[in-house]
Amino acid sequence: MAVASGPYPRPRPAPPEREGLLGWFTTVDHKRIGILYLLTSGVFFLVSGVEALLMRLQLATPEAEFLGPGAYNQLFTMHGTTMIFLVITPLLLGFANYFLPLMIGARDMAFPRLNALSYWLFLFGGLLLHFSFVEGRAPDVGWFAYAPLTERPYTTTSSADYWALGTLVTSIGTIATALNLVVTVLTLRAPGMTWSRVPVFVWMSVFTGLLILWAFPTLTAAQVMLLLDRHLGTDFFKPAEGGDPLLWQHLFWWFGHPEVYIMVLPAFGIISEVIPVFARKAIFGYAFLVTAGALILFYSLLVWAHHMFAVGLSVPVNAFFGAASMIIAVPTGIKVFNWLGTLWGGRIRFTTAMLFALAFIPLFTIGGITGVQFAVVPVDWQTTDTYYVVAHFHYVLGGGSLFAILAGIYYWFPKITGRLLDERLGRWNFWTMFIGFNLTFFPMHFLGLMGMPRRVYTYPDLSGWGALNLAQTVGAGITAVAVLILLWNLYVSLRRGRPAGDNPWDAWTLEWATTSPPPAYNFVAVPVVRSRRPLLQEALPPVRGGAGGDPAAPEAGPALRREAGHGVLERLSPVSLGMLAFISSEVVFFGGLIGTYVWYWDRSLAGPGPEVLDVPLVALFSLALFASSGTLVLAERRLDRGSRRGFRLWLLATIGLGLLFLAGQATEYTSLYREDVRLGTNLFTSAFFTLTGFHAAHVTAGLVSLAALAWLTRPGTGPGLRRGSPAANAISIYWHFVDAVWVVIFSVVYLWTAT
Amino acid sequence: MPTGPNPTRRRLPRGPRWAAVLAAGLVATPACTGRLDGYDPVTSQGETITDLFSLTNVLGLLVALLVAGVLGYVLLRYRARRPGEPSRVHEHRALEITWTATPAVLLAGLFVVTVLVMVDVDEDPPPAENPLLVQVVGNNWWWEFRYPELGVVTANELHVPVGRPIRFEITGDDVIHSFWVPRFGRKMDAIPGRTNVMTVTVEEPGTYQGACTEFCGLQHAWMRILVVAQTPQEFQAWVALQQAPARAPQSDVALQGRAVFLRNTCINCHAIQGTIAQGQVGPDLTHLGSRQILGAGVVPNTPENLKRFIRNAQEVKPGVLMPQFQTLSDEDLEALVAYLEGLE
Repeated sequence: MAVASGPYPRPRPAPPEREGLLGWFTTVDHKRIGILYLLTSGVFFLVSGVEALLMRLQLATPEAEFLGPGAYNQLFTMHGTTMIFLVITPLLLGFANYFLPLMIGARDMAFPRLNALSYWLFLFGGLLLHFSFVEGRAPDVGWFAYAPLTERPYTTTSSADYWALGTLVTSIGTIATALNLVVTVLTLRAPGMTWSRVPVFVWMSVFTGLLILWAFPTLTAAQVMLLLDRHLGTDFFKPAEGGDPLLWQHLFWWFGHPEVYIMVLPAFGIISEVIPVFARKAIFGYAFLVTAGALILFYSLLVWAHHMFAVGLSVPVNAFFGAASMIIAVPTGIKVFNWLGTLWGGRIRFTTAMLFALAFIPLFTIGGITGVQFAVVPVDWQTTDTYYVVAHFHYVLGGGSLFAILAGIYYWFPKITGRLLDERLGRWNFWTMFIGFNLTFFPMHFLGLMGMPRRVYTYPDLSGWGALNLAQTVGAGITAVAVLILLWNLYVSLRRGRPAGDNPWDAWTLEWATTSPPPAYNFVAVPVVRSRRPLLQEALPPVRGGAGGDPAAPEAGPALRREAGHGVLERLSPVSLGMLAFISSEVVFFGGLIGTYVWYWDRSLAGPGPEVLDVPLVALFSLALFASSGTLVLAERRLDRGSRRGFRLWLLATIGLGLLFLAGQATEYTSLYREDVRLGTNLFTSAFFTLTGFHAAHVTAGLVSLAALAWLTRPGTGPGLRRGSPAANAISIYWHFVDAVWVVIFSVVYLWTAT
Repeated sequence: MPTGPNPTRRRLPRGPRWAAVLAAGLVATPACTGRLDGYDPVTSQGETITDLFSLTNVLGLLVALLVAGVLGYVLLRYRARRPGEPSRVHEHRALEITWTATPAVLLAGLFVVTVLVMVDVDEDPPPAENPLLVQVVGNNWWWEFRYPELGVVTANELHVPVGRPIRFEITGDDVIHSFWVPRFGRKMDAIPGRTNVMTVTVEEPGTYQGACTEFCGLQHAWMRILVVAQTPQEFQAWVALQQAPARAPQSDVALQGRAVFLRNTCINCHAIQGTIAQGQVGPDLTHLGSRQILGAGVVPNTPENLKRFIRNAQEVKPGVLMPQFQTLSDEDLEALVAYLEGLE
C-alpha cells in the first residue's frame, strides 16, 4: 500500500482558533466558516420566507387591501434578491465550504483567510441590503432591476442603490469563495485522488466556482454603471440620452442565467452523493454525469437572451438562443436518467435525506420540462412574465435546489454536529413540505395560462383566479409548517439527537472517514485514495504527516503523483492559480466594459465622440506601460538568479514606468475636462471614462502590489523574497494582465474608434 | 447498515397516497374554475403558437410520465427490505447513448418546428389584406392606443376589427412595459427608445382581458387592457364615433362641467378634441364616456367611481400620477363628472 509525503499537501498545523464566541468572529477554519454560511443563509431564508407568506396573504383574495403596492413591491423584490443572493447560493457555498475540503482529504481551503473575508463580505452585503428596511426604502424594482425603472426619476429613493450596493458587496464575497473552491480542488486533493475519483459534489462545486467567476463580473459592471448613472450623471441606461435599456438586460442575464446553474449544479452534486449511499450502489454513469455538468457550465454561458425573447430581438438571434437553451436539456436529462440508473437494482433506504433527494427528481423534472417550453420561443412569448414562469422557476429552485439542500441538511447534519436528526420529525417535515410546495406552486401554471401576470400586488376578480390563489396561500401555510417542523427538529436533535458516530449512513466519501464533528485539522493523517469510493477500501491506510510525521514513511513514488493528476495547472502555486482564476474573472468584467464602449461609442445623441482623443499623446504614454511588462520580466529573471539588487532595480523601473503611464492619463483627462468633455457629457464619454478609469484603478492596484514587493526586498532586510516566490509570480501575472487589457483598450478606443 | 437509523420499518406511509390525491386535485382544479385564456387563442397567430405549445405539452407529459414511471417502479421494486445484494452495474454505454441521443433528436425536431412557427407568426401581412396600424404606447400606468390612419386615440380600451390583420407598433414612454392579451397568443415588450412590431389577426368578436406583464413600478398591477373585438361594421361605427370631436355638453350641468374642466389644471395633462384642452401627458378624454374602465382597470367607469377618482385618485389607485382635486366643490365635481361621462 503506497503512502505519501513530500510533494503532497500535508496537514498544516492548525491556525490557533480562539475560544468562545470571539472564535466565530476570528475563525479561518473552513468548517466554522461553512457553519456561519449555513446559519446566516438560514436566517435569511426565514426572513425571505416571511416575505413570501406576507405576499401570499395579500394575494389570497382578489383586490385585497392587506398590503399596498409599495409594500408588496418591496416584498417581492427582497424575496427574490434574498433567495438568490443570500439563501440558495450561499447555502450551497456553505456546504461546499464545509465538505469540499473534507471530501478531497484536505486540511482546509487553499486560502483560509480569503475564505473568512468572503463570508464577512457576504454577511455585510446582506445586512446592507436589509438595512434598507430600517430606512423604509427596501428595493422595489424587482430582483433583475430593469433599467430605466431603476434610474431617476422613476426611482427617486435610495432603494435601487441599496439593491445595487448590497448585492455588489455580496457578489465580491461570492467571487472570492468561488476562486477559493477552484484552487482548493486543483491543489489540495489527497494523494491518489485523481480526477476520475473526485466525488461528484466536488466536481459540481468546481463547475459552480468557474461559473461564478465567469458570470458575476458583468453584474458588477452593470451595477457600477447603474450607480454612476444615478449619482454621477452618466447616460448608460437612459433612453432620453440614447442609452439602451436592452444593454442592462444583456449584462444582467449574462450573469443571471448562469446564476440559475450556480444554484442548481451544487444541488445536482448533493443529489449525486445522497442517492448512491441510500441506494447502496455506486453512482451510475459517473463520467457522463460529470461531463454533463461541464456541458451545462459551457452552455449556460450561451443562453442568456432566452430571458429576452419578448423584447423584440430578430428571428436569428432568438433562434440561436432558443437552440442553445434547448440543448441544455440534454445534459440535464443525462443527469436525471443517471440518477434513475443509480436507483435501478439498488437496495433503497427511505431516510429523510433520501426522500428529499427522491422528490427532487420529479420536481426538478417538472421545472426542466417547462424550462424547455421557455426555450420554444413562441411559447415563451405567451408564457413569460406570467405566473407560468413563477411556477417554472420555483420548481427549479424550490423543488430542485431547496429540496436538494434539505436532503443535504438531513444527510450531513450528523457529520457537522455529531448527532442524527430525528427521522420521525423528518418524515413529517418531508411530507408537509412536499404537499405544501406543490399546492403552492403547481396551480401557478394554470394561473399563468389564465392570464395572471407576475409581480402584481393584486388582481381583478376574474373567474377562477381567487380560488386558485387561495389554494396557493393555503399551500404556503403548509410549507411554513414544514419549515417550523424542520427548525424544531434541528433544535431537539442538536440537544438530544442520537449520537451519529463517524459514518452513520455507511457512506463512502472521505468526509465520513473522520470523526463527527471533525477535528480542527480534519484528518489525523492524510488519507490515500485508491478508488472512487475510498471508504470501501478494506482499510484506510493512514499516512502520518505534519510535524509528527513518520520519518520512516517511504516517499510517494512519481507514479502516485501522476495518478493524482498533477497537470500543468496543478504545478503552479496556489497563489498563482488563484491569480489566474481572478484574472479569468477580470477578463469578463473588462469584457463587459469594453462591450459597453463598443455598443455606445457612436450612439451619443449629441456632443463629442472619440475624435476628441489625442491618439499620439496616449500612444506615447502607452509605450511606458507596454515597456513596464518587459522590465518586470527582467526583474523576475534577476530574482530567479538570486540577485535581489537587480530585482529591486528593475522593479523600481517598472513602478516608474507605471507612474509615467498614470501621469500621462492624468494629463489626458485634464485636457479633456478643460474642453468640457466630462464623465456625464454623453454616451461616449460615459463609456470612455468608465472603461479607462477602471483600467487606471487596476494599474494603481498593480503599482501598490509592486511597491509592496519592492518594500519586502529593500536593502537591509533579511532573506525576504525567495526565488520563484509565488507572491512575486502572482503579482507579475496581474501586471502583465493589466498591460494586456490596455493593449485591447488602446486598439479598440484609440486605434479603431478614434481614427 | 450498522449504525444508521432504520427508517424502512414502515411501508411508504400515507404520504404517496396523499400525493396522488394532491396531484389529481391540482390537475382537476382549473377544469372547474377559470378559463385558460392563454391556451384558448382567438387569433390565427395565436392558434399556431398554441398548437406548438400543445406539442411541447405532449412531449413534456411523455417525459414526465417516463421519469415518474421509472421512479415509481424503482421505488417499489428495489426497496431495502427485499433480499439480495444491490447490483454492481454502474455503467452502461448503450443506455447513456440512448438517453443522450433520443432527447437530442427530439429537441432538434422541436427546434425546427419552433423556427417555422416563429417565422410564420412574425410574417408581415400582405398589403392586400389591408392591415390596420395601431400604435401602442405603455405609460406609467396606462396604455395609449393610437390609430394614426384613422385619427383616433384612446386609452386602456383597445377596439379591433375581426378578420383583418392588425399591426401593433409597440413602444414605451417611460420605463419598460409589456403588451399582453393572453387570447392574442403572445406578448411584446414596450421599450422606451425602441419600436417593436407584432401582428395578429383576431378571428372572433368578443371582449378580452389583457395586462402589462413587465414590472413597471408601483401600479404595475393596474395597467390592464380591455380588448373589444368587433365585426368590421361595428368597428367602423366605433371609429366614426371616435373620429368626431368631443360631444357638446347636453345639459346645463354638463356645460358648467366643461367650464370646470377648462379652468382647472386638467388641461395640462389631458386632451379633449374640439376644446382648448390639448395636454399630452395623461389619457385622451375625448370619448371618456364610451369607455368601460377607469384607471387602466382599477374600477369600472361609473359616475360614482369617476368622482372618487378625481377627488381621491391616490386612494383609488395609490401612486397614480394624477393629482387629487380635493378643493373642488361638490357642485363643481358633480358638474365635471356629468360633462365627462357625457363624452361618448
